[in-house]
Amino acid sequence: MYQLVIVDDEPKILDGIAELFPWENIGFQVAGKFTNARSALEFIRKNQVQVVLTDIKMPGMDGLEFARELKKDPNLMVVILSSYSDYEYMRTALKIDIQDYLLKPINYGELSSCFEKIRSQLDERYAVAMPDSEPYYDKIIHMVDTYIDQEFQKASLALAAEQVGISAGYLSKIYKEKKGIGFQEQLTATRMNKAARMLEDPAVKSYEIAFYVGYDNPKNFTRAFKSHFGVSPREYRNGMRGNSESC
Amino acid sequence: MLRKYFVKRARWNFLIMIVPTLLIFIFIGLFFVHSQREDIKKDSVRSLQSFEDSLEASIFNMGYQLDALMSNTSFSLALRNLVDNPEMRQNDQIAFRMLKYFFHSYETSYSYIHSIYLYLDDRDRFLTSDPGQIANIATYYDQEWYGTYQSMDPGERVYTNQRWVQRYTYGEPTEIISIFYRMTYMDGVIVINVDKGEYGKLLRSVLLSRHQKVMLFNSKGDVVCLTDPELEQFESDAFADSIRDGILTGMEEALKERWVNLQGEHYYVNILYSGYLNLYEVSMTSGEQLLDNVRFFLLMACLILLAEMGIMFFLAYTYTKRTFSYIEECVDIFSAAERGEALDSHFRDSNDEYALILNNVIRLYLSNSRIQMDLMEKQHENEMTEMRALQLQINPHFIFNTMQTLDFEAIKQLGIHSELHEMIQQLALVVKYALSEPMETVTLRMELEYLRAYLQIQNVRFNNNVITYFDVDDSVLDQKVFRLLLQPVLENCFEHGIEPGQEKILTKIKIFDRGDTIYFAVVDNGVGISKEDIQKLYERINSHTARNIGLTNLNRRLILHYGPEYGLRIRSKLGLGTEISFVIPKVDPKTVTEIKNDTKN
Repeated sequence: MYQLVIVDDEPKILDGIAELFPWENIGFQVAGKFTNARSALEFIRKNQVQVVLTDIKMPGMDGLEFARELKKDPNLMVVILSSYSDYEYMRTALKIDIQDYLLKPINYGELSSCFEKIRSQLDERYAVAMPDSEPYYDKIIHMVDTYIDQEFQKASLALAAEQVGISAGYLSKIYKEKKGIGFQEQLTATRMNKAARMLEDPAVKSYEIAFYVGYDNPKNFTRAFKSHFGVSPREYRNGMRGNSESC
Repeated sequence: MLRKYFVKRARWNFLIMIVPTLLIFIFIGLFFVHSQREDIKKDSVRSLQSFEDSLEASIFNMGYQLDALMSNTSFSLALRNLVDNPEMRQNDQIAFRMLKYFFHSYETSYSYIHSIYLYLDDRDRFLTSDPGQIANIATYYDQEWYGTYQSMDPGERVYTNQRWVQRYTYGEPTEIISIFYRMTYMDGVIVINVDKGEYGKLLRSVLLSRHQKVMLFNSKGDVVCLTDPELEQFESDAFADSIRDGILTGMEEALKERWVNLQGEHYYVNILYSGYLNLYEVSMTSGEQLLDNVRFFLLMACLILLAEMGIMFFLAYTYTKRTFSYIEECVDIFSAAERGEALDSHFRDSNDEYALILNNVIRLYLSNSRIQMDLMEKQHENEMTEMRALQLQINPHFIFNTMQTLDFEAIKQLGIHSELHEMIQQLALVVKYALSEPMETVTLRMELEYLRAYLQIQNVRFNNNVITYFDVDDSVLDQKVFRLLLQPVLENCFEHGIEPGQEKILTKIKIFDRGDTIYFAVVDNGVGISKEDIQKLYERINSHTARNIGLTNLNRRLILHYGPEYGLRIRSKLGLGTEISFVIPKVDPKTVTEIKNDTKN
């Protein structure tokens, strides 16, 4: 586990970042959280810390000054957290050679992919291999499958990754490895099966079905349905009715 | 079209040039004809005078000489003796021979002399040159003259007439003119007979022009001699009669110096009285004389006129062509201006009036359109400034930090999979997008991504009853557009298009590739808009003063950015729904940087 220090002047946000994100899942431990830069600096000097995540706009010492101070130790990784309009700040920050920046409000997907990248850099530096445990992955796959089954309408790889606390790219990779089928294929298959079931009810309109299974373009739905079942939704529905009549 | 005007204009120019020339030609022509006519008059007078001179020289002088001879007593006595006594004395013999010699010399030197008679009153014999002898009137072949002499007016000194004589019964009769010349010192007459044909030839040779002919009338108004056989045709017609009447009544002066039309031909008539022979010379100059004189001039004038017309045609053509090249330039410039293309501020470095006018017009047009564009852009800029001012009133840090706090609170209380967390995430996306630089361009793909986030929020608001279809051609996804292109239209759907309590809100976003342009349409199944309200809506979105941020702003941005024809179009049917559409060109008329610079400055 790599040691992470989080700095933000707003305690609610500070707590949120520290507690609501599954840091352990991606190999980090929150070593400390501070509402001002000076105490954080003091802590970092005394303790072993690899990564610092800091807000950019703070009273007293601001994020940039803090980052500049931190980067005196080139091994320390710094990620800056910023509100959108601090674009000028960001430019300066990038010159200080920070690792990455994140925008508020934090998007979980972005946070995951950012810290996964940092972890792999740290792994390289310390030549450590992540002790991957099979039950851990099984748990992830299971969570994703449940997610797909329940949230097929709005489901996406990014949202699924957010759900399990890893990055979208990483999730896509391990999902394919463990299940032998891609995330998107699994999602489409689920959607098609749901759609087929809905088509059996003649009261539900075809375009509504398309929308409910997550297609905002009916043509795409028709195309996907046809490539999945070999017949168009209309043919499928007519076939169903034909069968029921013959019974 | 222009060609038609060209022909018309060229013809007009040509006419303007040719009219003064033609007038000058006509004036000179008339003047020339007039002077020619005057010349004919003068010539006829001069000709008649020389004619009279030759009459005097050819005949009168002869009579005068013979008369003078008779005033010599030896001659007059000899003549009387010769006529009275058949026996000739010595002295008479000499006189007789001398007279015969005179006759002979006249006859040989003047071929037109036919014969000469000398007669003393109350004798029945006379001296004749044909042959040189004393002849008895009663037995002589020509007796007519005697009667004429007897009937001559005693007061008349000279009388002339024309008659026929036949010397031998088997011979041809000869037409002669007889001049009766009363002797001055004795009672008697000298008759000079002239061969009419020969004499006519002589007289003709005196005349200056072949178009001039002369008729001789005696005091009784009879035609005595013609210089040209052609004149015979007038001898017996009304013209000759009028002359005769004129002579008999002494009114012949009134008949001279005028133009008459005889058998289809014009003649200039002049009359001169010759006192020597008591004859009226009537000169007739044919109008052809005039033609003869004028013909060369006319030919030359026509040639010059033709050449001149050629030159003028060329001038009119080149002038019109030059004018039209200017006009075409004007038309090009104006249509370029209409199409909204950039114009050169200066038309042409030339000093002519067209360049002056055009330069003025162009300058006026340019400044006008520039002012208009400036005004619109100023307005737009003001709005943007206002928008930005509004944006700045609320500190974005406050907004985003608040959203962050809310997000964490939602996750804490409802878990990562809560709708609230999702909504906050979408809202963050929407707010970030909305707070960006308004005129910055994005790809259509980004715009649609944003639009989906926006729609998901709306969907939550409307209890999952918002169904939106995207019918988008993939080929246009990377097209650059300015941000918030479709959101105002969708917003309009949700704000105005929905019936209270409407169950399902169907909207369809259509984006089609149309070659050079992209077609956008947002269709809903809402309440629709009545015709009058559509009109009102148009007025509102096209108004310069409207403060409506949504559709009006979008419409203005479209027009400012792409041009007046790219504004919003609205179609609607009450109870069925509304379609709001617009088209944008794929190639941006203004580059993005330009716009940015403009709004920054």
